[in-house]
Amino acid sequence: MDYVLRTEGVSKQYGKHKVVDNVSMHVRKGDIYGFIGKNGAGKTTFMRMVSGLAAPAEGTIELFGSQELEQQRVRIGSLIEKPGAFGNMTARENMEVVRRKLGITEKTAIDGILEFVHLSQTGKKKVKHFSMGMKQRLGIAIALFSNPDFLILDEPINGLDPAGIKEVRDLLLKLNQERQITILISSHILGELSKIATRYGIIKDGALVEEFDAQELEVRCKRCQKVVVDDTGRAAAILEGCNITSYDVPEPGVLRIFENLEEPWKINQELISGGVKVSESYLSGQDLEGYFMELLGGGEHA
Amino acid sequence: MLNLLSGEFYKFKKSRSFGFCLLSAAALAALLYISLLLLENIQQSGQGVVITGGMEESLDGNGEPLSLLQRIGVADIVQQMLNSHFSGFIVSVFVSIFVIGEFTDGAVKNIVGKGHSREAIYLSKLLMVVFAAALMTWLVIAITLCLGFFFLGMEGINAINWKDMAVFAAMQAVFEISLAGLVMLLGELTRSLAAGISISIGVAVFSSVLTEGLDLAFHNLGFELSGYWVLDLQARFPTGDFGRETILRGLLVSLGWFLFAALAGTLHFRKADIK
Repeated sequence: MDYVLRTEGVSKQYGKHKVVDNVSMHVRKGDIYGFIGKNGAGKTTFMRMVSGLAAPAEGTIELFGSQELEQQRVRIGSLIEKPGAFGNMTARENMEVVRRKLGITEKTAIDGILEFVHLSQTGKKKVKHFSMGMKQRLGIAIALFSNPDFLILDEPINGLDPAGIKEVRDLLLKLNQERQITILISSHILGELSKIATRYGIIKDGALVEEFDAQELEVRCKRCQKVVVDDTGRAAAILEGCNITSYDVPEPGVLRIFENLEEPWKINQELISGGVKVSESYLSGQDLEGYFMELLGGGEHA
Repeated sequence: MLNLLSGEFYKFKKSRSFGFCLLSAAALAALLYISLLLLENIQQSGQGVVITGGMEESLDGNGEPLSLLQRIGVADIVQQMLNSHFSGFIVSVFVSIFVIGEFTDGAVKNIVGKGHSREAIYLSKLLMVVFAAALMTWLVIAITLCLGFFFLGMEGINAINWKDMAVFAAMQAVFEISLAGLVMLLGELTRSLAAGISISIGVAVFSSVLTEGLDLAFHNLGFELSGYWVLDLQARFPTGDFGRETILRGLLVSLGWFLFAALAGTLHFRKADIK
């Protein structure tokens, strides 16, 4: 498995408060990794550590299979918190500063990248007069300037209107699909994130609670009948006997049945008459946002 | 390093704050000349007496008494602009805006971790600041001299000892570079425009008062702290008759403070998190 980012036990502490706690994250090549957590959960601090803006107190970070982070970080583009641009300069002038500092000799590279993020027509307009969406796109342009293999984006759609959100979403999909850029992205807009992410990581109080693929998420959110029984083998045999084949056993003693949801009582009746003790039986399933909220521990702002 | 310097230089070229700071310095210099002219008028109209601190009543080539402005001379007005920390004040404001702006705008995040060491990033900014401080000092001197020509004519300019003025300008640049290094260190430590500018201006304007007080407090020990503080040495530096020791002390103390600021700033930047 090719990992672009792999961390082991990464922690960061400010005073007595552990902001990031023993995070072991795995971002595979080609992933769009949705990084989800409430405000103050530690997402930005973690991303800053990966980008080299902050040093971890504990743990190891591996980029592109190497711990030579100084060398590997050249392959990263990042947009952390807010776009880093001089307000009193134009988009082109900001790009020129970055071009010179990164030693990119090709002057025309600026035109291409500004065209790519639809900022080539901004002319002499200073960045301080840009809309939020334009600033975010400039931030992405700067992050893309060094032609990175891995993009780290912290809340890139924050404050954007629906059209701006769609624009950034399309841009990220294009980067991932056309340029094979791996993306680690955090966002509060979970529904939007679920439209592009192929893998997720949930962070809560500084700790990475779970990592799972988009397919797994679909299964988890799928409407089903959950039945808690004393003998899953026997229960499965009874279901097969009733021609019910779409089910799984996510944990011992629990069955998730994905068909016949209109008549759940029938399944209960079959199981009980087959000698299986049914201690719980209920319909489950929710939308993505609801599922994330449940994982994050309540309906607070994620 | 050359790439970083190229980027810094481009940023400097596009920076409007340097021009504004220079304009402020020009306005201050003009005000200085104008206020002396006003004093002269007050004296001539008999509305008041201007105490000229032991200046002799000299006569010009036509046997007419010299004006107050002529008696003070352009060189002394240049000295007033530099030694009273007018230019130090302006250099402090510019350096704070130039350095701290990069943190407040978040632009420093675009470069850190992109193939340059943090030490190189800090030093490239420091070199840019050194260049800007020296340029600012010389431009302030040049502007004050030009205004001297405007207010006093060729006669005022001819009275200048250019060799002494060159030494004075070089030493003032050395002092301002040292100050700029310290202001940059304060900017790195505070990373807040308001705090950085106010602390830097405080240092530039009021530190001499503090060292004078400390000198008085510890005069029994035979040790003068002000002899080791770059801004005090700048304030005392004359426009002529320089002793070898004055120049050497100025150079060494400035170098010492500059190296301290460069080292402390680099170490802090290397370790500190960037938000």
